[in-house]
Amino acid sequence: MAELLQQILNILVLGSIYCLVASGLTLVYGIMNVPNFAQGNLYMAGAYVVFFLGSLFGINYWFCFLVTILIMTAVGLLVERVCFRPVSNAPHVNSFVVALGVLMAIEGLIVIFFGADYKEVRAPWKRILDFYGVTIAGQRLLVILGTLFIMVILQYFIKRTKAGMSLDAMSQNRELALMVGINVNRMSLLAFMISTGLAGVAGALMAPVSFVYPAMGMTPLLIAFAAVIFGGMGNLSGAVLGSFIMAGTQVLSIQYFSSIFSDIAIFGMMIAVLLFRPKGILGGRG
Amino acid sequence: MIAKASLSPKFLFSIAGIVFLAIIPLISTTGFFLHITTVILLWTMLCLSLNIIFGYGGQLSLAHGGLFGLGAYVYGVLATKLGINFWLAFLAAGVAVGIIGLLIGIPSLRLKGPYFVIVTLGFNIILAAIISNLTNLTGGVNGLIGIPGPGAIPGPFFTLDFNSKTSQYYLILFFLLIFWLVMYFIRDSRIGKCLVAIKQDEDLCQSVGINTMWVKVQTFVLSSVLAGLGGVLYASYIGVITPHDASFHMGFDALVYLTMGGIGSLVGTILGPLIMILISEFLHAVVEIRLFINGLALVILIIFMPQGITGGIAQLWKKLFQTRGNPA
Repeated sequence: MAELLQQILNILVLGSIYCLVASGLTLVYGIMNVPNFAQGNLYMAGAYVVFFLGSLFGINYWFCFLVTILIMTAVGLLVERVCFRPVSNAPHVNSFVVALGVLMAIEGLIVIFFGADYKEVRAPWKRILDFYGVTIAGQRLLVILGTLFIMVILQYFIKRTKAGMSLDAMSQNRELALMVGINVNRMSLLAFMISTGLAGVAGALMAPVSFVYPAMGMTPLLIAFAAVIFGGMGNLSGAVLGSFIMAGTQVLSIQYFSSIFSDIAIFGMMIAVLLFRPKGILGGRG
Repeated sequence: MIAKASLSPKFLFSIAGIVFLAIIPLISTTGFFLHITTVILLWTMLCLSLNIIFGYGGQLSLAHGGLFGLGAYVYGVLATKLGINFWLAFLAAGVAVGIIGLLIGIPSLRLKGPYFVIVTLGFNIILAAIISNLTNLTGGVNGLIGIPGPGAIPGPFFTLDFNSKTSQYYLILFFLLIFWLVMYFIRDSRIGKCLVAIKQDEDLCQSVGINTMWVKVQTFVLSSVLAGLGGVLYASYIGVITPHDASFHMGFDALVYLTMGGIGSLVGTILGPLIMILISEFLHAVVEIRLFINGLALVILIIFMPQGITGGIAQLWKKLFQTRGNPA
């Protein structure tokens, strides 16, 4: 029983991170039709910003956390304006290539400034909590609660504010949204900034839990893609559901088989969904 | 065909280029220069294979780095663990990569747009993970060392051996010329024309009765085999391979080089690697800076010069010579 609960906690921690990364992916895909390959490295960059600020300003994690979100949102603004806007009217595949270029440039930049070795960020809350035999490190609990908090805010933003509702409308029906006068450029910018902000949050939350290193974004990127495809590209609830299912698959198959099996299982699920239900379990844009 | 092409400056430039490539070992004073040129030729093979499926067919495959590495590993394992002759291993690697290409191609090519790109990237990651996990066979993260070069070909009058760097250079150049010819004929064949049409509008092709899936699968397998054979030559030349040689980074770099040279262009497949590798050698770039430069170059090229250097030259050529006499 305790073992099962422990597994569930692990799934929740990993699932939360994937959920943040995947929500950003699906949001950008819904509005811009771009699979943002750079999302994983934006997550990595978020972790590095926390590391950098932490070593600069001592260790006030909360302060660093907030500043990281701001910085990453600004990075989103810059990347969307400078890299993606110019190709928004070009053939579709150009924006994929730009996303790959951004992926490489971010990783290259991080390696130039911080080197390729593993960095460690000290957790603000080092206690290990113990509920009747189920233990969880404080920071891991923080990942779950932080993600829950952010996702609630995101949901509120999308369902209740005018800008958020426009985003939702545009990802559901682009032509209709254009017809009622929603500005594509502004929506793209907004979606991209939210997306990088979410990646930054995920990086900042995860930095004290795992090591921080330049290649850390690749696995979350691929799993987030699998999650987004599983739930339906462009569908936010699908991305959330997919993230936890993928995290579950990963944790359980690593526990009972091996890590390579987990890669193949996650990937196999993604292909199976693509082949048999291309719009995802919850339906998305084809 | 030659009669048709012989008038074009493109054809003359190509001949001049090939002659230049052929005399490089004679004019290169340092071994380093020859080495860099050989590396450029090897990258050209990877770019060329990507060009067939992406440049002609518009299918952006991110699995080609893995297929290149797979070819290298199949040869490396066969040569070091089983001591199999180069030429036999060369064929075996071609067949093996072709089969894997088929297995990757059939599910992925059913998908379009972003889905194809994501799935091929995923396949590359799985392929690299499998390679670095088969520690007994592949040496895991340490890779394989001491991979032998190509064996000698005994002839009736003399024996062709490939012990010197110069002879290996000519061997690689020989295969590159064959690959180029394959690419050239593919482009002009029925299947190549279908492929280009698929890039324009796949639904339309289907509506006129082209089996687009079959066309795409055939060319994907062909381009996989070329990538894999390039990998074999790479492994036999460099002598050491690590899982990095099968990672998606290889495919990304090839994409950068191809974009630099000009997506869909034959000359571009060598101009891209030439320019990018010379730049990074000129800057004495270590791997880290190279990653940044490549990423930046890719973004800048796609925004400002999506047709690459050959596209840029073609436009300039048109401006200089073809509008003359036409009052604007």
